[in-house]
Amino acid sequence: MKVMNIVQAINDALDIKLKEDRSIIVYGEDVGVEGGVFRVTEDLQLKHGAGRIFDSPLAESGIVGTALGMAIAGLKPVVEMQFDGFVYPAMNQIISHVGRFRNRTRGKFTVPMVIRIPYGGGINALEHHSESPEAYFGHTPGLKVVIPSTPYDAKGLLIAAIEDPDPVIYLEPKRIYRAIKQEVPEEKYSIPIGKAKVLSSGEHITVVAYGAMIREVQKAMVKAKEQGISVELIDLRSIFPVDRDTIRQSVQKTGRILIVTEAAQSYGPAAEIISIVNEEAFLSLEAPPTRLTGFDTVIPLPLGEKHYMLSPERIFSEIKKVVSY
Amino acid sequence: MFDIQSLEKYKPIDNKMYQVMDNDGNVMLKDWKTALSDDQIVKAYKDLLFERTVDNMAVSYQRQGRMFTYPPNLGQEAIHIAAGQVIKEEDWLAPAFRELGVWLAKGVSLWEIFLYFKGNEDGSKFLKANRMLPVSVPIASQLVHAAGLGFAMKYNKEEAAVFGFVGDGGTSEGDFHEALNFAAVWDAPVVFVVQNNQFAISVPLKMQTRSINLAVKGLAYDVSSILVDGNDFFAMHDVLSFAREYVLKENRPFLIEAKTFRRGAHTTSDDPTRYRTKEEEEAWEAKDPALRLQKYLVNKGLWDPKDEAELVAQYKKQIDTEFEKAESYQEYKLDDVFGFMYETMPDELKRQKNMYENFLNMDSRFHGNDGKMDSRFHGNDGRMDTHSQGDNGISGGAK
Amino acid sequence: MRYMFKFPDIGEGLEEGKIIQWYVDKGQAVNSGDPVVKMETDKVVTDIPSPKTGVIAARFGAVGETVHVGNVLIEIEIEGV
Repeated sequence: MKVMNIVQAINDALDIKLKEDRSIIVYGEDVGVEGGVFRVTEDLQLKHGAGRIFDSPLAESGIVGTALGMAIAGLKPVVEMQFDGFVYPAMNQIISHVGRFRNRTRGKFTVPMVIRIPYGGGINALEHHSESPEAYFGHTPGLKVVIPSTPYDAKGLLIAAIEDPDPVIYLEPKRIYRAIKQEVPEEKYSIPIGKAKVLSSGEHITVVAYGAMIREVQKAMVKAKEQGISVELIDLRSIFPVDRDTIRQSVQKTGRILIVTEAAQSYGPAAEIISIVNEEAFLSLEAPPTRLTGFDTVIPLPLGEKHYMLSPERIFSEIKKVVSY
Repeated sequence: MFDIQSLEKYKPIDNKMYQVMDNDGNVMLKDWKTALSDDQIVKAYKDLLFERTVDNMAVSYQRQGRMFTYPPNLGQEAIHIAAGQVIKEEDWLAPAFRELGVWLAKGVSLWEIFLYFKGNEDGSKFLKANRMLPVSVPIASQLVHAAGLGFAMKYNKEEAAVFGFVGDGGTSEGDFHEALNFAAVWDAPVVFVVQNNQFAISVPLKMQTRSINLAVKGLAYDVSSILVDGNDFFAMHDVLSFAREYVLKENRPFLIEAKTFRRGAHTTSDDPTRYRTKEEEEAWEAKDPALRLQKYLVNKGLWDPKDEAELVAQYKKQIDTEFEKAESYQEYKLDDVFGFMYETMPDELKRQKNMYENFLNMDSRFHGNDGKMDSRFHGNDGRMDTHSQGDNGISGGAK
Repeated sequence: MRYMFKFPDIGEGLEEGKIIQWYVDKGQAVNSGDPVVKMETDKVVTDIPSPKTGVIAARFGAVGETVHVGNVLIEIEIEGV
């Protein structure tokens, strides 16, 4: 066991896989010599060589498209989009090809690749550095999409993503890159993609969240506990496929659900979870399934960001509303 | 003999084009020799005729309603046949969508091509062709795949080249530039072939770029390039053979601009009379690749045009047989809509598939044959029946 | 055997076309691939070839008339069956 934060956990996962599988190629902007602008890939080039982990030209569509070519030829590329806001030039390759290549060749060619993307706000960043684009990927057929909230999950999910025969979008909540330290096994392990995790058992309300929001919900839960509200917290972990069973079982128990996401409201992941709740556990509901999300605005620059980012106070207020319905 | 010195003689920046034959099939270059035997050249011409015959019949099948939208290859066959002769089995081919002769040379079965254009993804399985990517509709997006494939070949220490095709319109797309750049930075063995057929649907080349030609764009990426007469089979063969050797030996990409003319429409949904003149089309007819190669062979006494009708009739029978294979292919399976999205079908897709299967298996009053809605609930054209259309026998319909 | 050749959607979502010229008459022999009629649609003006080899048993529509996609253009008597 070793104490790691999320950055270190991701680095460890990459290190382990690079060591054991020669077909893994890691590249992106600044990931080689510098080790990535967040230092996630630090020292990996020293350990595994510039032939396998290197800096690419500044061209996101090219990074993803060349990775697809490599994957078709039997390699396993793990590429990085430097920031969430920079993945957009690659959307054509992701939607038109990465998600489709297995289907359109009837499995003759497959795409075992991973796209790592630091995402989310709350770090006082420049414009276009605080996006929550997970809904675009969840909506794209042929992809898997995962978001860890702890170092343990970060390592396990990334290893699972790299070993998955299908393309995985791996979103890294940069706000909590270094905020959480945890004991993490040093050996290789993986967490199955498509499984949510019940972080706390509760009676009165189910709260579903993921990524950096987990910590904020946990802060709200302290206040809730003081007022006698018992919250069952589910870390979704997998945007697609979604773990319906865990959600259903929880709502059947509590009868109330609040989904908390940083992403903008309209057509976002929270709406998807509400639809799932309707399909799976409607008759168990004692209150309308409710979402608490970002606004349908662009996330403001740092001085205005506090209005957009969901605070424990807002989360608690919403929990109370749903519980009091 | 096209060699590394030729690159100096035919610099794209000087707008010099490499050409071997004139329009009448006479070799213009002094001391020019080909490595091809007479038999190989005759075969090339026959292959050219075959591609053209397939192409014409494909358009006809589409007009008969037996096939869907199809992009004709008319006028560009010399490029395809030459490339088909040069590309080896271990090489990768990343096509755009107008390279019929190259696909066939790579081992794609004709019935597979027909099956694809009839609307079944099984046509892209390429049972007998290795290392060929399916057609790429998002323009130029295949070129970055080609760059990645080139990297992989080097990484795996394989002596294999990658051929990425694109049209003149595609050279405006970002992926064209990203691909050339990546391939150059990575020293990847990729031959980029730009088929400049003068039109991107209706948009002529002069509205596509201010560059003096398309080959010159390689200069920006330090990618060596050549502008070549795409309707000249020998010129294409010379350049493509050289290019393949070059990328493997030098570990550098290479860019070919093959200047040609799209004698047909963009696709069967396009009408060129809306944007170009008969004069333009006729001028290029005189430069037709089949015509020139035929004249060369006739001059050499290697071909008698009187033999063509019979040969083409033979080809037509062959092609009809392949088309019938595609037409009698098994029905599109519901399983296949869901079955290839992932290696293991996720629960959610299973759920959606089950729901749909339940609908299909429902009470037959809601289903006629083919899963089409029972006519008691629909009039002609699928419009909802009204009570006054009593002829359909609506139960209790008042007249 | 009578084969009914219906006007196909040749242009991705066309509803109808106008007959510009007939190339065949009732009683005429046709080979598969021979043009039978010239149609004008929103996208293209084009010849429509016969899908079968046989004899034209019937022809529907006059020059200038609009034909809906899915309506029969010609009936072909196919030999042998």
